[in-house]
Amino acid sequence: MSAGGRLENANPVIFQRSGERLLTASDEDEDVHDRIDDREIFDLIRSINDPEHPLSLEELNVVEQVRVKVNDAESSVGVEFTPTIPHCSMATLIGLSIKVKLLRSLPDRFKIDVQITPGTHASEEAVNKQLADKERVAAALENSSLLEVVNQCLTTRSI
Amino acid sequence: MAADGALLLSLVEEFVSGLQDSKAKDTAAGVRNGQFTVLQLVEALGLSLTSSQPHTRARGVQLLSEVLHECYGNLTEREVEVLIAFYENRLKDHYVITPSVLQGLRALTKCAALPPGSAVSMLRSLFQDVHVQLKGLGADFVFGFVQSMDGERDPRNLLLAFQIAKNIVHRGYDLGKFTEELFEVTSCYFPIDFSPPPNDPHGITKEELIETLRAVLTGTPKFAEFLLPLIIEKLDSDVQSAKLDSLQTLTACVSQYEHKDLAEFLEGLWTSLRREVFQTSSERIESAGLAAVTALTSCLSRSVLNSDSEDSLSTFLDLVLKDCKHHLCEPDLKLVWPSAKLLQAACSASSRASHATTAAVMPSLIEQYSSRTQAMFFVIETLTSVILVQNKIPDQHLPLLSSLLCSEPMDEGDNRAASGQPSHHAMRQRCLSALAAVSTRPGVVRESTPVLLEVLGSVHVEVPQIDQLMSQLEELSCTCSHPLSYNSAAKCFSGLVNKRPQGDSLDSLVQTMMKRVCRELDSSSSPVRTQALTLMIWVSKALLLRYHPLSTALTDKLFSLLDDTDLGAAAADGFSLLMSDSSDVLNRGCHADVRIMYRQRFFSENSAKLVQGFNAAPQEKKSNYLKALSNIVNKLPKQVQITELPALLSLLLEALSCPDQGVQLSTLSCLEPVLVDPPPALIQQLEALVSRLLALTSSPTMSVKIASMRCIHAISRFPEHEILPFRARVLRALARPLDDRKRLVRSEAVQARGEWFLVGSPGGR
Repeated sequence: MSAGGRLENANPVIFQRSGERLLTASDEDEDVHDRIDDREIFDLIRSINDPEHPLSLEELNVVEQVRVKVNDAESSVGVEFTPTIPHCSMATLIGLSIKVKLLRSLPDRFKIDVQITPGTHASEEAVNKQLADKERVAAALENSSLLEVVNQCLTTRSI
Repeated sequence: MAADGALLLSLVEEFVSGLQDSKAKDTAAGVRNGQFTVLQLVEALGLSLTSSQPHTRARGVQLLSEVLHECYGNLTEREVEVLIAFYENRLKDHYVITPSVLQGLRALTKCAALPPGSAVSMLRSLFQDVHVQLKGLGADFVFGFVQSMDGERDPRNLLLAFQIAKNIVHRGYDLGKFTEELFEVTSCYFPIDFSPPPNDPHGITKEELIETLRAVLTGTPKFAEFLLPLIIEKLDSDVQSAKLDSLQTLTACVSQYEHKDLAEFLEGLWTSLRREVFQTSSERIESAGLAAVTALTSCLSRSVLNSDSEDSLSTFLDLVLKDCKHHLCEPDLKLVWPSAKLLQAACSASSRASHATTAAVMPSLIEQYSSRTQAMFFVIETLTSVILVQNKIPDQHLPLLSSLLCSEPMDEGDNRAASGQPSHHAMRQRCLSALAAVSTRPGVVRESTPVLLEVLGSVHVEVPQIDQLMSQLEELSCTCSHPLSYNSAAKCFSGLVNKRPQGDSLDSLVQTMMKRVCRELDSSSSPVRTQALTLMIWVSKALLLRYHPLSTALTDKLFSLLDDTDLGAAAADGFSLLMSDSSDVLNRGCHADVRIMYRQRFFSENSAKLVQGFNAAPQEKKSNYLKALSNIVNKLPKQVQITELPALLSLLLEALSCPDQGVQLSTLSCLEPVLVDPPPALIQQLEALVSRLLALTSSPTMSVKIASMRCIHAISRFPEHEILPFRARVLRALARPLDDRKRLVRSEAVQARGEWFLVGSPGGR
């Protein structure tokens, strides 16, 4: 975590948000089973706030739909996120936020795998290892100040 | 004398049975010298004349006729009268007798003592019963008749002569080469110019003569080549009655003619007809002229064409269109109205004609309407007349036409009144009538019904015969089985009730309706209970909106129906209708009488009743009460809901436990806005509320799940210390819908659960 003051990435490139998912008739048809798809997962994580900027992860292109892979039948989901700069120290925090959001939003059966997009961060291996470790994640969330930051990232801002 | 009697008898006997012709002469001599009277002769002939053998009867009549032939001079008027009656009767007898009868009649006609009117009756009988023979005479007979009629001036005789001529013509006598003569001898009297003298004992009127003559002239197409030029000539006359007679005669004659009879005269006829309408000085003449145009067009439309014959109808219509069409584009000239009328007259004659005319005229009319905005009244007038006259518009014009008619009534501008043209109101009426007339096609009905309803909603509608209308609407809404129909009728009825001025007539109208409706509703076997309920709900609304005292009676009845097995649910839904804004009727836009705060008033007056009813109701009926309640509360302004809700909270919580999904949903939607700013009463009931809401998240219906989770989501914003105890439970419960098969449910669960995670957690709200 950076000690207050200077932002790491002062001038990020901003990406356009995609529109809301369009409703179809089958969405309201009780007989149709809607499988969880990539878009749904993406919708869960795209509005997560960036810890530094008043922008969402989508707007910073930290998360993209193409880097989301879900398999409902096999109860597995994989997300790759791209830190804005290779030495971003927020990477772990961002990854943690994504992971927590998915933990809170998906049924227990899912195995959630959050990783840094290969080749986009200096310490990707280390970060990935932390994020994959259940105990470490649980312990992190016991830390109230960490939890606070994570919660702040996950608070839905009124747009 | 007795000897004479015996002598007479033997003479008769010898003539009739003995077939001795010479005896006739002897008998005649006997009558001449006074030996016997004719009466005695007739008596003596009694047996023969009534014999069953035609030949015997024939001989009897023959004897009498021969005697009359010699002795007609001696007869008194009375005797002649009786004899004529007898002979006329005998005409009906066997044909063998007829020659003798004719002979006798001939003798009688020579009598000086011929009673008045006997000639007429004789001829009439002749024509009636003997025409077979006369027809054989054929042209000779016609010639003879023409000769006898020539120069006649006495109206009585003329009347008779016309009648005979009519019979000749109508019975298909062979006129032969005397056709023109017969025409000449009758047509010289055309047009009739006759003024009966004062105190005329015979009472012959001009109209009788005109009618009878007309029947002659128009009786056969053979006269066409003579009659039509005559008509054209007489139309030129300055005398109004001559014109009128000519026009009426023309109208009458074309009904018998075919196109080939008319072909060569079409141009001449049209020129005259056009002149009569364009330069008319009298309405009677104008309408007679228009009727003639219609008749003419109709005749031409009827004709069957061969491959080489010209299409006279299209020739004629071309003439009409050529002269009339361009005037329609010049609304400032005064010929536009006559042109329009002529076109309408042609149009209304037949489908073919209407098709051709409207196809030619419609596009330019519609185009004119779109391009100009002033003084289009005549366009409307023409269009609507065309429609009203013959309800058949070619399909391609229909959409444009109906949208034109739909937009016209809505135009409130009154700038037309100034220029002295038909008032806007009158125009609107026309448009509406036309619109109603065309609204028999499904495509048009869809567009026109909203317009018609809207017009009904306008303030300034004066409905003629409103009482009749009301009773018909009431009838329709109570008896019809077609939902759209009885619903619309109920709406119309209630729209009118709402605007009706206060007073006894309104009260009695409502009470009558109520009696009828209650009669149906109270009888559980009535087939029209639904219709009666519909009407009652709409009328309740109409009265409720204006705070009419009778509304209470109706709404009480509606409340009582919540217990009804079949209608309970419909009654509960009825409350939604009572409280909602209706889009097409009974709203402020329709100038309905809507008082402020009627909903609040209704609620505060009836909520206690509702609660009582609910408490008293059997379990299976409770849902109706809850539905009614939530329907009512839902429509209250938010502020009022919040104020009123605490009083109903226990009822609402009860409603959440109700197995009926409709009730659940309406309660949830009712509850949600209240949760935004919860009253203290609600906080006290949190346990009950949360429990029930969580239970509903397992509902089989997705809409219920979503609605309850939204409420749970809303609760997450309650004061933290109040809701913290529920956090764990909520999080656990909401884990299940995260895996719901419907995405919409999952996303709602995600949002609600996410918020609850933040409750009491650092970094949360």
